[in-house]
Amino acid sequence: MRTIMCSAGCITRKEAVVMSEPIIEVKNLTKYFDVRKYLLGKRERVHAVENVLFELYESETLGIVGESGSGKSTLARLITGLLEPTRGKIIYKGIDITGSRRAYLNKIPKLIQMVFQDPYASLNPRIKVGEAIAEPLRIHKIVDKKEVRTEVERLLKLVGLQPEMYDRFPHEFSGGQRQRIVIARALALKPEVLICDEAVSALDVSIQAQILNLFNQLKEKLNLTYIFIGHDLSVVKYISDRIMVMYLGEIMEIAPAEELFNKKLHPYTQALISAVPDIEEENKRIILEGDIPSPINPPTGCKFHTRCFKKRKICEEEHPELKEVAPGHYVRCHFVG
Amino acid sequence: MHEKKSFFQLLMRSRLTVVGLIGVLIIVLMGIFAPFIAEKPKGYGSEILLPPSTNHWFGTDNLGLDIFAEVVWGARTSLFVSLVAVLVAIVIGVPAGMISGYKKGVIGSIIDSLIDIFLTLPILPLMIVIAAVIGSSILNVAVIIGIFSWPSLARVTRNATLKISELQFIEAAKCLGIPTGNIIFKHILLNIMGPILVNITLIMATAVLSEAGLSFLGLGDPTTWSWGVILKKAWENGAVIDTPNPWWWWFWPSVFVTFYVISFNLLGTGINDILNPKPND
Repeated sequence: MRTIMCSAGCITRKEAVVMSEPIIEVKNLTKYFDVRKYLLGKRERVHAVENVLFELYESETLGIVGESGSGKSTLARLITGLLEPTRGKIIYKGIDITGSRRAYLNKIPKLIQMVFQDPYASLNPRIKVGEAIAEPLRIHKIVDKKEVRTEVERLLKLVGLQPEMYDRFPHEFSGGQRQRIVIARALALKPEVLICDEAVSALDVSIQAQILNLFNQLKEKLNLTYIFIGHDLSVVKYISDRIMVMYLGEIMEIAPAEELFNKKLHPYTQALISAVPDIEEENKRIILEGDIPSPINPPTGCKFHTRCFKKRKICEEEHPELKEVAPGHYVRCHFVG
Repeated sequence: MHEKKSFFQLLMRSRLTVVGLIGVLIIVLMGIFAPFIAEKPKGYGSEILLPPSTNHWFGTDNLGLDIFAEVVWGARTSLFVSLVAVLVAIVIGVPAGMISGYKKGVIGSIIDSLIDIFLTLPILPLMIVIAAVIGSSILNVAVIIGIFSWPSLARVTRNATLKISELQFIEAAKCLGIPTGNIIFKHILLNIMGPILVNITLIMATAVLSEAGLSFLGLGDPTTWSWGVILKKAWENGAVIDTPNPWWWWFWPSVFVTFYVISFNLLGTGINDILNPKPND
């Protein structure tokens, strides 16, 4: 019953996705960090994000999953302009916004906003929450000076908080409330795209559900497009239209959410999905051995081969390309397609 | 400023802080109202080396001058020296520390190395040399002390800035398009006031010690009364080793130097306890 309902819902959603235009196109985005352990030590290159290519469609929710170290957060920071890419382009509605730091310093925040992981760390403890939301309004002159307070109160109401909370400090709020404040602050600039970087991971499960519902409500009210980053597949599945699986900075698989769960083409996707607890089906867990390899010296060939249970010789030698196996379904594996 | 009252109430909660605050107040009031409390000691008096009495609370020195008056006017000098030194240290140290903490990279490394170099310099000998070269007016002494005090303030500021700038709300501010100036001088500065204030009180304390040291070595301003100058005169005239010992001559300035240092330290610790961010539940 559950599957039928969900898949029906997903088909309509998927149609909407196909119809709409890409709002963001990410083209071969690559980010390396050069690090030195000692002052005169050898430079080492961290391959954080490598050749990432995808499109984000208007009004969709794109989920991104992967272990820590898979480059999800770096990707988010590249798109918001917090980091500059080593290579590649980010196109926003046809306009190149790569290296946005200068030319678009003023525009990007109004287009793409971000909600961070830790609601305790993402609010300045010395600034009243109302002022925290008012600051971007004032700096970007979103509303008239006299109307700032009214606008902040409207935003507080929008995320389900009382307008009287304007004059309180962050430490007076719970994690869930703080995350609502952070969301209100991000929405102050009326962005079209909201990137949620592990936005519910730090919250209790019951609060997670509330915040996820808030995200869904806001999406409908404000016609937002989401990139939803998480490591909890069940959460990402709940909210996403499409899901992108990342490993060591590369896209391993990208597909509509239902299809990804039903087909599980990539071995890494299979392992991730098998780790999701399921009451109805008893599934075999695929336990991956070891940790994600260091991004300083990523494995040759397929980056996943060191932990893959389907590994053969070709995996060590040849780097698989991302292949389209079905409309909108891409997989990076030698044995698929 | 919104929480001034509650801040003050918090300050009053710790007894030791109250003691420190009262001590600082006493010294500040003594310094400001010195002319109303005692006449500026000068010339000669007739009553030489009198022990403490109702006429001369702290006794008199070998010129017959009232030591209480000397100590009161000394407070004024000490305050002046430490305030100027702190001002110099703030003007150099806080921006240096904040920039080197926020801008990791070449600029940060250069400032950081500079702080390290200054911290390893042998301060007292250098102060002596510089004071001897540029002449020992009280302002010179204060500026010299300030110049050697900024590295510790810069180090503290830098460490605090490093810690704060790693936090997510700084990244969030960047993401919201908040200008760098606002990020540094609002978001970060608001969060590092505690360590800076504490370090300032420490500099206030050590500046007085340095001034006393320089004066004692004869590099202070001989035309101004300071606690170091009193001590120096006591020492030169054998008051420390003579028998019978005119103990009041060296005892009172020493007490006030100690009192000053302890008061500022207690106040600093108290401020630190209050201003440190509340631990997250």
